[in-house]
Amino acid sequence: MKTDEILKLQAYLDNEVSSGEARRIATWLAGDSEARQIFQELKGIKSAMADNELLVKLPESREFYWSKIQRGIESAPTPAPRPEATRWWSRIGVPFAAAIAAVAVLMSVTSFDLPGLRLQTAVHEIDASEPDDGSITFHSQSEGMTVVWIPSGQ
Amino acid sequence: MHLSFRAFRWIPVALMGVFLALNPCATAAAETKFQARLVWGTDEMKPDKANLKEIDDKTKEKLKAVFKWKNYFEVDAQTVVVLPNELKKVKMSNKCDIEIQDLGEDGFEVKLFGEGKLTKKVKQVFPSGDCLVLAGDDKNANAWFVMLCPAGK
Repeated sequence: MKTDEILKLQAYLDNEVSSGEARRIATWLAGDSEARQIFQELKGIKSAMADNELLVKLPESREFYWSKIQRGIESAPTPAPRPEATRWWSRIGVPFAAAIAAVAVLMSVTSFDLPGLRLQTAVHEIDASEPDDGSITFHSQSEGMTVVWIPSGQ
Repeated sequence: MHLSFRAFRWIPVALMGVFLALNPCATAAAETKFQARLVWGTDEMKPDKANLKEIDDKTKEKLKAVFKWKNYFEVDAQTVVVLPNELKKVKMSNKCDIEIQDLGEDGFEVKLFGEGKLTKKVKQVFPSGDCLVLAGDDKNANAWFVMLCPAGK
């Protein structure tokens, strides 16, 4: 029997297959004596392991066991201090970099309103609010002007 | 030698101060300056009118590149300062008035009045310092232009 077939039987035994797959395996078991034999062996192993699982008992009390762990943690050597050069660079560099990053983020999510700056970065938009009033709007990129031509009579 | 770098700790604070000083969300928003001009375009020579003067060459070339008229004369020119959310009224001539309102993020709303009557309303975000030109034809195949340009452009 192939390994994947054995794994299917193991999964069926552990109720890890879908209902459709379970029906197919049950049909397979009914018609295949070898599969049925292996299934019985797997079932026996499973029941044996579950019934004979050894309990590991601590040779000491629960409190004493955990207090040993706590003492081990507390007595662990502290990490050696970093070289002085690294420390003062990190003192300066980290806040400086953080400040630059904060300014960059704020600049990206807000708009500066200095007159010249805003006028240079704004997106072009024109809204002729009057519906079809006969005026013509066009933009001359080369000359840098938006023209609204209003015919006479308006 | 032991150096104290406590002073460097103020760098981020200083940077944030500069940002906040420039940021309108944290401080009062800045005013916006425009140059508003009423221009008359014609193919004729300069008429004998006292209130007309030659327009500067740069503006003349810009207008000639877009419009057909050969000559352009300045009827009136004013520097207009618009405060945030302010509605600024500007009288360009006896027959022509404009209103400029700062809409904040939405740009500016410009209203053109002819003889007191609302002729055109335009909402404009001025890109890259571009000018807004409201124009129309006039009698005798002439034309008028109301140019609104960010100051210094």
